[in-house]
Amino acid sequence: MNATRPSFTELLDWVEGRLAPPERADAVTTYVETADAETLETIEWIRDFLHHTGSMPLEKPPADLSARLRNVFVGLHSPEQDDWSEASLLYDTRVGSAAAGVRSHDDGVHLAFDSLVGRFVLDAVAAGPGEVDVQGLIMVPQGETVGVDLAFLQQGALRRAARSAADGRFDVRGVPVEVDELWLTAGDTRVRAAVDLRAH
Amino acid sequence: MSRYERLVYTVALRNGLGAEDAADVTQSTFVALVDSLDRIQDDEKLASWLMTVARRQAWRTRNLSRRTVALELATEGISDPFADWATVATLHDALATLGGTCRELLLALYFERESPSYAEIAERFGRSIGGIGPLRGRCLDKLRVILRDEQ
Repeated sequence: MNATRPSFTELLDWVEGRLAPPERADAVTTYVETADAETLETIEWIRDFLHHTGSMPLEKPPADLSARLRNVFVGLHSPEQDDWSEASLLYDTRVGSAAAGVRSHDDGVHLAFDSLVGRFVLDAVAAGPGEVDVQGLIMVPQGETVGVDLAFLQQGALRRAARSAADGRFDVRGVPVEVDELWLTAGDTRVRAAVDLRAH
Repeated sequence: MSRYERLVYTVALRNGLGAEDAADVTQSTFVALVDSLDRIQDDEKLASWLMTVARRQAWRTRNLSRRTVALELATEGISDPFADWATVATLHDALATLGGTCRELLLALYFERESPSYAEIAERFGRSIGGIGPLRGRCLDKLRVILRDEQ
Protein backbone atom coordinates (compact mmCIF):
# COMPACT_ATOMS: atom_id res chain seq x y z
CA MET A 1 0.00 0.00 0.00
CA ASN A 2 1.19 3.47 -0.81
CA ALA A 3 0.83 5.35 2.47
CA THR A 4 1.77 8.72 1.00
CA ARG A 5 -0.50 11.40 2.33
CA PRO A 6 -2.77 12.46 -0.54
CA SER A 7 -2.55 16.03 -1.76
CA PHE A 8 -5.63 18.27 -1.86
CA THR A 9 -6.00 17.69 -5.60
CA GLU A 10 -5.75 13.93 -5.13
CA LEU A 11 -8.44 14.04 -2.46
CA LEU A 12 -10.61 16.14 -4.77
CA ASP A 13 -10.08 13.65 -7.60
CA TRP A 14 -10.85 10.82 -5.20
CA VAL A 15 -14.08 12.38 -3.96
CA GLU A 16 -15.14 13.07 -7.55
CA GLY A 17 -14.20 9.56 -8.64
CA ARG A 18 -11.59 10.84 -11.07
CA LEU A 19 -8.44 9.64 -9.35
CA ALA A 20 -6.22 7.51 -11.56
CA PRO A 21 -4.64 5.05 -11.82
CA PRO A 22 -6.97 2.67 -9.94
CA GLU A 23 -4.12 1.54 -7.72
CA ARG A 24 -3.64 5.08 -6.46
CA ALA A 25 -7.38 5.44 -5.90
CA ASP A 26 -7.34 2.23 -3.86
CA ALA A 27 -4.37 3.50 -1.89
CA VAL A 28 -6.18 6.74 -1.06
CA THR A 29 -9.28 4.79 -0.03
CA THR A 30 -7.17 2.76 2.34
CA TYR A 31 -5.42 5.88 3.62
CA VAL A 32 -8.73 7.63 4.30
CA GLU A 33 -9.99 4.72 6.42
CA THR A 34 -7.47 5.58 9.08
CA ALA A 35 -6.72 9.13 8.09
CA ASP A 36 -5.73 12.01 10.34
CA ALA A 37 -8.22 14.67 11.33
CA GLU A 38 -6.89 17.20 8.83
CA THR A 39 -7.38 14.86 5.89
CA LEU A 40 -10.89 13.98 7.01
CA GLU A 41 -11.67 17.66 7.44
CA THR A 42 -10.45 18.34 3.91
CA ILE A 43 -12.65 15.58 2.51
CA GLU A 44 -15.63 16.93 4.40
CA TRP A 45 -14.94 20.43 3.07
CA ILE A 46 -14.78 19.14 -0.51
CA ARG A 47 -18.05 17.25 -0.10
CA ASP A 48 -19.72 20.32 1.40
CA PHE A 49 -18.43 22.46 -1.47
CA LEU A 50 -19.83 20.07 -4.06
CA HIS A 51 -23.15 19.95 -2.23
CA HIS A 52 -23.48 23.73 -2.04
CA THR A 53 -22.41 24.41 -5.61
CA GLY A 54 -24.92 21.86 -6.78
CA SER A 55 -27.70 23.60 -4.88
CA MET A 56 -27.70 26.71 -7.06
CA PRO A 57 -26.35 26.19 -10.56
CA LEU A 58 -26.07 29.39 -12.57
CA GLU A 59 -28.68 29.83 -15.27
CA LYS A 60 -27.95 31.26 -18.69
CA PRO A 61 -29.63 34.65 -19.12
CA PRO A 62 -31.42 35.58 -22.34
CA ALA A 63 -28.92 36.32 -25.09
CA ASP A 64 -29.96 39.96 -25.31
CA LEU A 65 -29.63 40.73 -21.59
CA SER A 66 -25.97 41.74 -21.78
CA ALA A 67 -26.76 44.08 -24.64
CA ARG A 68 -29.65 45.59 -22.67
CA LEU A 69 -27.44 46.22 -19.66
CA ARG A 70 -24.75 47.67 -21.88
CA ASN A 71 -27.27 49.94 -23.63
CA VAL A 72 -28.38 51.49 -20.38
CA PHE A 73 -24.94 51.97 -18.91
CA VAL A 74 -23.23 53.06 -22.13
CA GLY A 75 -25.98 55.65 -22.45
CA LEU A 76 -25.22 56.83 -18.93
CA HIS A 77 -21.60 57.40 -19.78
CA SER A 78 -22.17 59.07 -23.13
CA PRO A 79 -25.54 60.80 -23.02
CA GLU A 80 -24.35 63.59 -25.29
CA GLN A 81 -23.88 61.40 -28.34
CA ASP A 82 -25.52 62.50 -31.56
CA ASP A 83 -27.72 59.44 -31.94
CA TRP A 84 -30.20 60.63 -29.33
CA SER A 85 -33.43 62.31 -30.30
CA GLU A 86 -35.91 64.17 -28.15
CA ALA A 87 -39.45 62.97 -27.64
CA SER A 88 -42.06 65.69 -28.03
CA LEU A 89 -44.80 66.07 -25.48
CA LEU A 90 -48.25 65.68 -26.99
CA TYR A 91 -50.36 65.90 -23.90
CA ASP A 92 -50.12 66.52 -20.18
CA THR A 93 -53.35 66.34 -18.22
CA ARG A 94 -52.02 68.86 -15.71
CA VAL A 95 -51.64 71.64 -18.25
CA GLY A 96 -53.80 70.68 -21.21
CA SER A 97 -57.48 71.22 -21.51
CA ALA A 98 -58.91 67.83 -20.74
CA ALA A 99 -60.61 66.56 -23.85
CA ALA A 100 -63.52 64.24 -23.62
CA GLY A 101 -62.41 60.87 -22.35
CA VAL A 102 -59.08 62.09 -20.99
CA ARG A 103 -58.74 61.56 -17.29
CA SER A 104 -58.26 64.49 -15.01
CA HIS A 105 -55.12 64.89 -12.91
CA ASP A 106 -56.75 63.87 -9.64
CA ASP A 107 -55.76 60.25 -10.11
CA GLY A 108 -52.19 60.84 -11.19
CA VAL A 109 -50.13 62.16 -14.05
CA HIS A 110 -50.93 61.21 -17.62
CA LEU A 111 -48.48 62.05 -20.37
CA ALA A 112 -48.36 61.33 -24.08
CA PHE A 113 -45.31 61.72 -26.32
CA ASP A 114 -44.33 61.32 -29.92
CA SER A 115 -40.88 59.93 -30.67
CA LEU A 116 -38.77 58.02 -33.14
CA VAL A 117 -39.45 54.86 -31.15
CA GLY A 118 -43.17 55.43 -31.55
CA ARG A 119 -45.87 57.30 -29.70
CA PHE A 120 -46.04 56.45 -26.05
CA VAL A 121 -48.24 57.23 -23.10
CA LEU A 122 -47.56 56.82 -19.41
CA ASP A 123 -49.57 57.10 -16.24
CA ALA A 124 -47.87 57.82 -12.93
CA VAL A 125 -49.88 57.13 -9.80
CA ALA A 126 -48.70 57.86 -6.27
CA ALA A 127 -47.33 54.76 -4.54
CA GLY A 128 -45.17 54.97 -1.42
CA PRO A 129 -43.73 58.20 0.00
CA GLY A 130 -41.90 60.00 -2.78
CA GLU A 131 -42.64 57.24 -5.26
CA VAL A 132 -45.00 56.60 -8.12
CA ASP A 133 -45.99 53.51 -10.03
CA VAL A 134 -45.66 54.07 -13.75
CA GLN A 135 -47.62 52.16 -16.34
CA GLY A 136 -47.58 52.90 -20.01
CA LEU A 137 -47.74 51.78 -23.57
CA ILE A 138 -45.35 52.33 -26.44
CA MET A 139 -47.09 52.09 -29.76
CA VAL A 140 -44.34 50.26 -31.57
CA PRO A 141 -44.70 50.03 -35.34
CA GLN A 142 -46.77 47.08 -36.46
CA GLY A 143 -44.79 43.93 -36.91
CA GLU A 144 -42.06 44.92 -34.49
CA THR A 145 -42.17 42.78 -31.38
CA VAL A 146 -38.90 43.66 -29.73
CA GLY A 147 -39.20 45.19 -26.26
CA VAL A 148 -38.05 48.72 -25.60
CA ASP A 149 -35.59 49.44 -22.80
CA LEU A 150 -36.64 52.21 -20.45
CA ALA A 151 -34.43 54.10 -18.05
CA PHE A 152 -35.73 56.67 -15.55
CA LEU A 153 -33.19 59.25 -14.46
CA GLN A 154 -33.08 61.93 -11.83
CA GLN A 155 -30.65 64.73 -12.58
CA GLY A 156 -28.68 62.38 -14.81
CA ALA A 157 -28.52 59.54 -12.27
CA LEU A 158 -30.20 56.28 -13.17
CA ARG A 159 -33.04 55.44 -10.82
CA ARG A 160 -35.04 52.67 -12.47
CA ALA A 161 -34.70 50.55 -15.57
CA ALA A 162 -37.14 48.16 -17.15
CA ARG A 163 -38.10 46.70 -20.46
CA SER A 164 -41.45 46.89 -22.14
CA ALA A 165 -43.28 43.75 -23.05
CA ALA A 166 -43.34 42.79 -26.71
CA ASP A 167 -46.71 44.53 -27.11
CA GLY A 168 -45.19 47.79 -25.85
CA ARG A 169 -46.73 47.78 -22.37
CA PHE A 170 -44.56 48.60 -19.40
CA ASP A 171 -45.12 48.64 -15.68
CA VAL A 172 -42.48 50.08 -13.38
CA ARG A 173 -43.14 50.23 -9.67
CA GLY A 174 -41.64 52.50 -7.06
CA VAL A 175 -40.18 55.13 -9.37
CA PRO A 176 -38.87 58.16 -7.44
CA VAL A 177 -41.26 61.03 -8.09
CA GLU A 178 -38.29 63.36 -8.61
CA VAL A 179 -37.34 61.53 -11.81
CA ASP A 180 -37.02 64.11 -14.58
CA GLU A 181 -35.93 62.17 -17.63
CA LEU A 182 -36.94 58.99 -19.41
CA TRP A 183 -34.80 57.18 -21.97
CA LEU A 184 -36.19 54.72 -24.43
CA THR A 185 -33.88 52.48 -26.41
CA ALA A 186 -34.99 50.21 -29.22
CA GLY A 187 -32.08 48.79 -31.15
CA ASP A 188 -30.01 51.72 -32.34
CA THR A 189 -32.77 54.24 -31.72
CA ARG A 190 -32.37 56.25 -28.52
CA VAL A 191 -34.94 58.73 -27.35
CA ARG A 192 -34.97 61.12 -24.42
CA ALA A 193 -38.09 62.58 -22.89
CA ALA A 194 -38.26 65.23 -20.20
CA VAL A 195 -40.83 64.07 -17.67
CA ASP A 196 -42.37 65.46 -14.53
CA LEU A 197 -44.15 62.78 -12.52
CA ARG A 198 -45.26 65.02 -9.68
CA ALA A 199 -49.00 65.44 -9.36
CA HIS A 200 -49.07 69.19 -8.71
CA MET B 1 -21.75 43.51 -14.82
CA SER B 2 -20.72 40.61 -17.02
CA ARG B 3 -19.03 39.00 -14.02
CA TYR B 4 -22.21 38.88 -11.97
CA GLU B 5 -24.91 38.83 -14.63
CA ARG B 6 -25.55 35.09 -14.42
CA LEU B 7 -25.54 35.11 -10.64
CA VAL B 8 -28.07 37.93 -10.36
CA TYR B 9 -30.27 36.46 -13.07
CA THR B 10 -30.19 33.06 -11.35
CA VAL B 11 -31.20 34.56 -8.01
CA ALA B 12 -34.17 36.25 -9.67
CA LEU B 13 -35.24 33.01 -11.34
CA ARG B 14 -34.78 31.07 -8.12
CA ASN B 15 -37.14 33.43 -6.38
CA GLY B 16 -40.04 32.50 -8.55
CA LEU B 17 -39.82 34.80 -11.56
CA GLY B 18 -40.15 33.96 -15.21
CA ALA B 19 -37.33 34.69 -17.63
CA GLU B 20 -38.67 38.09 -18.67
CA ASP B 21 -39.14 39.40 -15.14
CA ALA B 22 -35.82 37.90 -14.05
CA ALA B 23 -34.11 39.88 -16.81
CA ASP B 24 -35.84 43.06 -15.60
CA VAL B 25 -34.77 42.36 -12.02
CA THR B 26 -31.20 41.80 -13.21
CA GLN B 27 -31.27 45.20 -14.87
CA SER B 28 -32.81 46.86 -11.82
CA THR B 29 -30.26 45.24 -9.53
CA PHE B 30 -27.37 46.73 -11.48
CA VAL B 31 -29.15 50.08 -11.46
CA ALA B 32 -29.29 49.81 -7.68
CA LEU B 33 -25.59 48.96 -7.68
CA VAL B 34 -24.71 52.08 -9.64
CA ASP B 35 -26.84 54.08 -7.26
CA SER B 36 -25.12 52.56 -4.21
CA LEU B 37 -21.50 52.39 -5.35
CA ASP B 38 -20.38 55.10 -2.95
CA ARG B 39 -22.12 53.38 -0.04
CA ILE B 40 -20.79 49.86 -0.54
CA GLN B 41 -18.03 49.60 2.00
CA ASP B 42 -16.62 46.20 1.23
CA ASP B 43 -15.98 45.25 -2.41
CA GLU B 44 -15.31 41.68 -1.33
CA LYS B 45 -18.95 41.34 -0.35
CA LEU B 46 -20.28 42.59 -3.67
CA ALA B 47 -21.61 39.21 -4.77
CA SER B 48 -23.70 38.72 -1.65
CA TRP B 49 -24.85 42.36 -1.83
CA LEU B 50 -26.08 41.80 -5.39
CA MET B 51 -27.73 38.53 -4.41
CA THR B 52 -29.59 40.22 -1.57
CA VAL B 53 -30.78 43.13 -3.71
CA ALA B 54 -31.83 40.78 -6.51
CA ARG B 55 -33.78 38.65 -4.06
CA ARG B 56 -35.61 41.68 -2.64
CA GLN B 57 -36.43 43.00 -6.08
CA ALA B 58 -37.60 39.56 -7.16
CA TRP B 59 -39.95 39.38 -4.19
CA ARG B 60 -41.33 42.78 -5.03
CA THR B 61 -41.76 41.91 -8.68
CA ARG B 62 -43.33 38.60 -7.84
CA ASN B 63 -45.93 40.37 -5.78
CA LEU B 64 -46.65 43.11 -8.27
CA SER B 65 -45.91 42.09 -11.81
CA ARG B 66 -48.59 41.13 -14.20
CA ARG B 67 -46.10 38.99 -16.03
CA THR B 68 -45.16 36.76 -13.12
CA VAL B 69 -45.67 33.14 -14.00
CA ALA B 70 -47.64 30.89 -11.73
CA LEU B 71 -45.52 30.08 -8.72
CA GLU B 72 -45.93 26.36 -9.10
CA LEU B 73 -44.54 26.62 -12.64
CA ALA B 74 -41.67 28.88 -11.67
CA THR B 75 -40.52 26.68 -8.84
CA GLU B 76 -41.10 23.38 -10.54
CA GLY B 77 -37.99 21.30 -10.61
CA ILE B 78 -35.85 23.64 -8.55
CA SER B 79 -34.77 23.29 -4.98
CA ASP B 80 -35.75 25.59 -2.15
CA PRO B 81 -34.27 28.97 -3.18
CA PHE B 82 -33.46 29.80 0.42
CA ALA B 83 -31.62 26.59 1.26
CA ASP B 84 -27.91 27.20 1.78
CA TRP B 85 -28.43 30.86 0.91
CA ALA B 86 -25.79 32.24 3.26
CA THR B 87 -23.25 29.61 2.29
CA VAL B 88 -23.78 30.13 -1.43
CA ALA B 89 -23.47 33.90 -0.98
CA THR B 90 -20.25 33.44 0.99
CA LEU B 91 -18.92 31.14 -1.72
CA HIS B 92 -19.57 33.75 -4.41
CA ASP B 93 -17.88 36.44 -2.35
CA ALA B 94 -14.85 34.17 -1.93
CA LEU B 95 -14.84 33.42 -5.65
CA ALA B 96 -14.77 37.16 -6.33
CA THR B 97 -11.78 37.47 -4.03
CA LEU B 98 -10.13 34.54 -5.81
CA GLY B 99 -10.71 36.24 -9.16
CA GLY B 100 -9.02 35.63 -12.51
CA THR B 101 -8.82 32.30 -14.28
CA CYS B 102 -9.37 30.36 -11.06
CA ARG B 103 -12.76 32.00 -10.49
CA GLU B 104 -13.85 31.44 -14.07
CA LEU B 105 -12.66 27.84 -14.03
CA LEU B 106 -14.44 26.94 -10.79
CA LEU B 107 -17.63 28.65 -11.99
CA ALA B 108 -17.47 26.69 -15.23
CA LEU B 109 -16.79 23.36 -13.54
CA TYR B 110 -19.04 23.56 -10.53
CA PHE B 111 -21.74 26.16 -11.11
CA GLU B 112 -22.84 25.66 -14.68
CA ARG B 113 -25.99 23.62 -15.04
CA GLU B 114 -24.73 22.17 -18.31
CA SER B 115 -21.71 20.51 -16.57
CA PRO B 116 -19.25 21.01 -19.43
CA SER B 117 -16.69 18.28 -20.04
CA TYR B 118 -13.00 18.79 -19.38
CA ALA B 119 -12.52 18.84 -23.16
CA GLU B 120 -14.96 21.75 -23.49
CA ILE B 121 -13.38 23.54 -20.54
CA ALA B 122 -9.89 23.02 -21.99
CA GLU B 123 -10.97 24.53 -25.29
CA ARG B 124 -12.70 27.44 -23.61
CA PHE B 125 -9.69 28.28 -21.45
CA GLY B 126 -7.06 27.50 -24.09
CA ARG B 127 -5.38 24.84 -21.97
CA SER B 128 -4.59 21.15 -22.35
CA ILE B 129 -7.14 18.69 -21.02
CA GLY B 130 -4.50 17.18 -18.77
CA GLY B 131 -3.90 20.55 -17.13
CA ILE B 132 -7.52 21.20 -16.14
CA GLY B 133 -7.72 18.74 -13.23
CA PRO B 134 -4.55 19.90 -11.44
CA LEU B 135 -5.43 23.56 -12.05
CA ARG B 136 -8.92 23.16 -10.63
CA GLY B 137 -7.36 21.43 -7.59
CA ARG B 138 -5.01 24.35 -6.98
CA CYS B 139 -7.81 26.86 -7.50
CA LEU B 140 -10.17 25.08 -5.14
CA ASP B 141 -7.46 24.82 -2.51
CA LYS B 142 -6.92 28.59 -2.79
CA LEU B 143 -10.64 29.13 -2.40
CA ARG B 144 -10.62 26.99 0.72
CA VAL B 145 -7.85 29.12 2.19
CA ILE B 146 -9.78 32.32 1.42
CA LEU B 147 -12.90 30.95 3.10
CA ARG B 148 -10.91 29.77 6.09
CA ASP B 149 -9.24 33.15 6.48
CA GLU B 150 -12.59 34.89 6.35
CA GLN B 151 -14.04 32.82 9.15
